[in-house]
Amino acid sequence: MTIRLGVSLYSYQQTYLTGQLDLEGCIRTVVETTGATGIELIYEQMPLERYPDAVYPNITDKGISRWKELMDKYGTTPTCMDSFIDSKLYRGRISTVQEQIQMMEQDLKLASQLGFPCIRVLALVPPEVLEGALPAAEYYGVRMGQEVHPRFALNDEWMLNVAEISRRRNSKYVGLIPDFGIFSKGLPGSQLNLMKIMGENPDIVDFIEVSFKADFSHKEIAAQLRQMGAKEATVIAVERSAFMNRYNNPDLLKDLLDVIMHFHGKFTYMKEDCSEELTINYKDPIRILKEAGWDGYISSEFEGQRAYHGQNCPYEEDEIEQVRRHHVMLNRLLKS
Amino acid sequence: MDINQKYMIDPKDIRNVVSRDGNRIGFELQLIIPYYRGAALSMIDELYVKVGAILYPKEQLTFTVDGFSYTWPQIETVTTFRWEYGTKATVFVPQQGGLDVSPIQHIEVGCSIRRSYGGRFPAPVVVKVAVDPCKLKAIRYQ
Repeated sequence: MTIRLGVSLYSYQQTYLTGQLDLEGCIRTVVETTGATGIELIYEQMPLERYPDAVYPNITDKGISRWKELMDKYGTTPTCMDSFIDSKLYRGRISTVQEQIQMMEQDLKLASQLGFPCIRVLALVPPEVLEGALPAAEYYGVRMGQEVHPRFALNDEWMLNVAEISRRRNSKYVGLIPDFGIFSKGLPGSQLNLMKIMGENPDIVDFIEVSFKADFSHKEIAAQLRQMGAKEATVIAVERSAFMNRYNNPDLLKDLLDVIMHFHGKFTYMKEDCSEELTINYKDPIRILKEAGWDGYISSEFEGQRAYHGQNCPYEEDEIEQVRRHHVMLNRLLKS
Repeated sequence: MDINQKYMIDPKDIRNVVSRDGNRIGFELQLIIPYYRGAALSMIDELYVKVGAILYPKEQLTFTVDGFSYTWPQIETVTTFRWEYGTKATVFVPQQGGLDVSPIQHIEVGCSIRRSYGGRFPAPVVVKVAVDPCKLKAIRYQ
């Protein structure tokens, strides 16, 4: 029973997009720069095959062999495949539950072909789709984990329903995948960093970080920022974050550990000294997992690059370095 | 949500298009999906090109990917072929004379993918580039 570490290749999306690393390069980079061996994949982001070989959700034996060769070559293990269920595939209507179950079955099949033990199901996929796909999950031996992602919380009825399905059906094939973003206080670190890059007074940005951590409300912080002479864009960003940002008490994990199969180690800004993520609490959730002897992977999911994708943003984040720093912190927390 | 806004268009990829009989019939540009994964072609919710004040809605555009060309509304029924992450698609804009030889042209492109989450109508990611038509290459179709 132990906590193991991995990386979601989503973390390297920009490096991949700009052609600096291909799929193999991403896998090699995980091993070389973090020492972790767990690989999480958004298949639809970095498919093993494309037209004319095979188009998602299909894959040929050659594509499957290629994946297994890569895992063998680098000593890596598939941990989780991210599933989407495109319920807006057709203009003008939402796919029916039955259609969404079919999509889930396709992803379960693909995940099993590639040796993934679980798939990440988006937070908004209805519980009846999970329950309807349960026979297929059991058939393929692939677990479905619904993502607990901001602005959801671990004790929302929506998430408790999924836990209830697992317990009522006595099945480990449905459960939860919390995203560490739910342990975030305030704005994402990358957004704070962007404010500094775009010329906001660093003292004002640091004030935002500290005051959220001290549990001041969005309204109180916004009012104070106006007095301090913050840019209007800064105040608006703080006000808007009220919708997405709901801090989850890490103690909420304790009642759900039996149905949690995997974690998304969401992060957007690791400090240079690798001491902590700027606004996400890793220390307490990891302590709880260790105390409970929870067994599974925490998969780093770096999302900070997106903050700098604006056309006129002069800054580009170094995804590989951010993931490396994240693992320095995670390894320290696991050992302490 | 401006995912990949700075990577969506490379101004160097913009070219005038010349027909077999030598007329400039429009221009084309290459586009990368404004999303972090690929999507079925039916999920392209919005696409437009603006040159100065002239708007070219998707119904006037031709979208080509993996060697296949589609127009609207037909593309909305294409669910088993995809615009993969990082794959450049070609967008053809019909405009007699192509892009004028002078002065600098301001081109705006908006595109959105109808993902399953995050609101009913995703706002397009909009990118604006300035192009010097004097430096444009032309492509001649057979």
